[in-house]
Amino acid sequence: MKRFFILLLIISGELQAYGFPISNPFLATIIGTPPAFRAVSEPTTIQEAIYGLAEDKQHKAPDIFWDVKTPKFKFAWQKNKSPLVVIIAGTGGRFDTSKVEALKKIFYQSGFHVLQLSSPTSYDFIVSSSVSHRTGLSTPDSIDLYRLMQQAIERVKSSRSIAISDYYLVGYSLGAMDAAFIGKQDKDERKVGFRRILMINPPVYLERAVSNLDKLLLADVPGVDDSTALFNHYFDGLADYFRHHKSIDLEASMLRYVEKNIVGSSREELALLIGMSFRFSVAAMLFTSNAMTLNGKLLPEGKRLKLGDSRTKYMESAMHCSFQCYVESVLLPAVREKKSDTTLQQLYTENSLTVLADWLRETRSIGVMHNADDLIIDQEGLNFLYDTFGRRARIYPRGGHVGNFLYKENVTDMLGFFKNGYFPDS
Amino acid sequence: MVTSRTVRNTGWPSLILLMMLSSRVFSVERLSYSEPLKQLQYHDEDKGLLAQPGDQLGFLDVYDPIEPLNRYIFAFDRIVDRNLLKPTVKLYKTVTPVFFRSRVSDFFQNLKEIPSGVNSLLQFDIRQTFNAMFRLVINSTVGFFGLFDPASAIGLHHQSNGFANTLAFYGVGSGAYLVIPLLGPSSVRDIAGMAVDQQLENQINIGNVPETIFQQPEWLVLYGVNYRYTTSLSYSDFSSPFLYDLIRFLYTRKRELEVVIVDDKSI
Repeated sequence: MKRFFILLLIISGELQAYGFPISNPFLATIIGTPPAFRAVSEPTTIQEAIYGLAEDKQHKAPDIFWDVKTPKFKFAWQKNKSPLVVIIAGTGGRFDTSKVEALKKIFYQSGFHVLQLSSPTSYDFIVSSSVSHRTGLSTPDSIDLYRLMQQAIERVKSSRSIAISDYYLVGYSLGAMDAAFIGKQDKDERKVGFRRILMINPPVYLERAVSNLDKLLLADVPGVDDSTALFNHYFDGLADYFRHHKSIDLEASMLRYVEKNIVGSSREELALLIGMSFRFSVAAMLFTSNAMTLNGKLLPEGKRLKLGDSRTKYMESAMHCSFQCYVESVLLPAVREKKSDTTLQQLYTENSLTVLADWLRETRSIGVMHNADDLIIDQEGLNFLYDTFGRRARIYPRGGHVGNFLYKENVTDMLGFFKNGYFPDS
Repeated sequence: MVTSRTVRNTGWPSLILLMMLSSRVFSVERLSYSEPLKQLQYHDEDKGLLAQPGDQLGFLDVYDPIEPLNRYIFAFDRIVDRNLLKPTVKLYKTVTPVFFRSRVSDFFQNLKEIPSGVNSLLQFDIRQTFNAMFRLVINSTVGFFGLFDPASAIGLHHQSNGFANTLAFYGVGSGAYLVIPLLGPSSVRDIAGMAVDQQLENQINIGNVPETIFQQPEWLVLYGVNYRYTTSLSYSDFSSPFLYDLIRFLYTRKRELEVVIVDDKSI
């Protein structure tokens, strides 16, 4: 009997072995890895700069996009000859969004030069680097991104005396899927020659990711029937908090309030927050692509917005367009301009990870890290990762969508894969 | 002997253990998907957030009658911030030690105790009035003319308060949203309050400092650089085509929260 308990202990130890502390995937998605559980980071001075490719400036873009007409990227360099890692941001993220900055620190401290690129779905990329100005599909986006990447590498090589030993590529979320498509392209064209590629929480079936993310806004929170009710739900709580605490420092107490109340939120409340923030990204994509292509979907046809024109009503109506609505009203017509008989189903299939299955299976230099509780996949997607990547897939039991990549074990795995080509202990 | 007995006595539990170990070592253990979306309660398809055209995002509405002008000034502020203010602050941080910068920010903050104290008094907040008065006295004497902040060390922390809050206390609404050249987001009430506070500082003219600041360009520059240095937020922290709307929303709601505290003290 005693031995049986010891055995139970071992088994539970086996199950508990992964120590990421947040078991609620919605919470993990929002707050990420608590600082105490992150990989230790030493204070390092990072030599870095933001570069602009002035020769590619989009002179024809409407004035309202004055700040993003020039393609930009960020680069951090090492003194000595070092490997270079390219980081691709996730949905809607600019090259310096917080997750990219966090990844940069990890790789920079491990001795990499780091090149940070915006997601094709970010506001700046849609205006300055996308040929169609309609982004979100990895097949066409990765072509734009691969070109930008080469220009960026050329640029840093010519403007700094740096020595690069090897090239690596990493992306998270939609940026991870972009990385796979770029990897395939690079394999064929050999213009960069990536030594290893790592995907962090990519969507597997695009349609699944789209429908899951849209579905979050259907979560039922009692008393919250529209977006204003959701806002008041949190704002009133915040105001009450201030009344009670007669707070001295607004920012610090806001942070305390948010920490306390986010952690105490129900799954449905958290789902709504994730859904809203995602919808806000989609609205920005819809607005930006419409204002660039002037095709009359959101703005009146041919209307070039001027600096003083209000965008508020366009933002509000864009917020009513789900991701699926964006795919059908913006992306499908864009694809049909090139291939008129494309069906919605074909569009989804051709821009899912599964279309690269053969290549992913035989390419030993590409790996994936994912979570068994990620919101953007499903059982079928998880099976695909196990079947296709084998030992080059590292699946964690917890972490939500990109909530655990700063956890110490994840960081060890990430660096281990780049160093050795396989995950430690696998 | 002991060893052989152990081996003989290991029954099925050890077998499981062996299997587990081998599965760990020899193959990839498969986790199954935890189906997080099935853990949620849902509305009907047409009742979700933003599913109805009637869901008008009313929480984003801010009274902004001169929006076109505001948007031009907003763009101007961003250009100035990007090309002049931020590079200047960067230079300031490179050429001065943090000790120097802290003395400068403490010094200018000390002057703000005057509007903070006067307005707390106008809002009948005796505790805050004394807080500001003590801070001013302690920091101006023990703290070498405000260069140091020993008052914080003994638990008297700076709380900014201004005439805009006093106006709110007496029931004055915020009025139209305004974007001020160089200063950024504000409102009719907030900018009027700021002007009164500045006038107050100039009138009291403690140690002739306020007068000097506005008469000597090098002081004015230092004042401005410190102002930007102590403002943590930057326009470029956000990347969105809706930046103007976002900042307008955040500024307005933040002020509402600050006024909540003041309002609650009113009778």
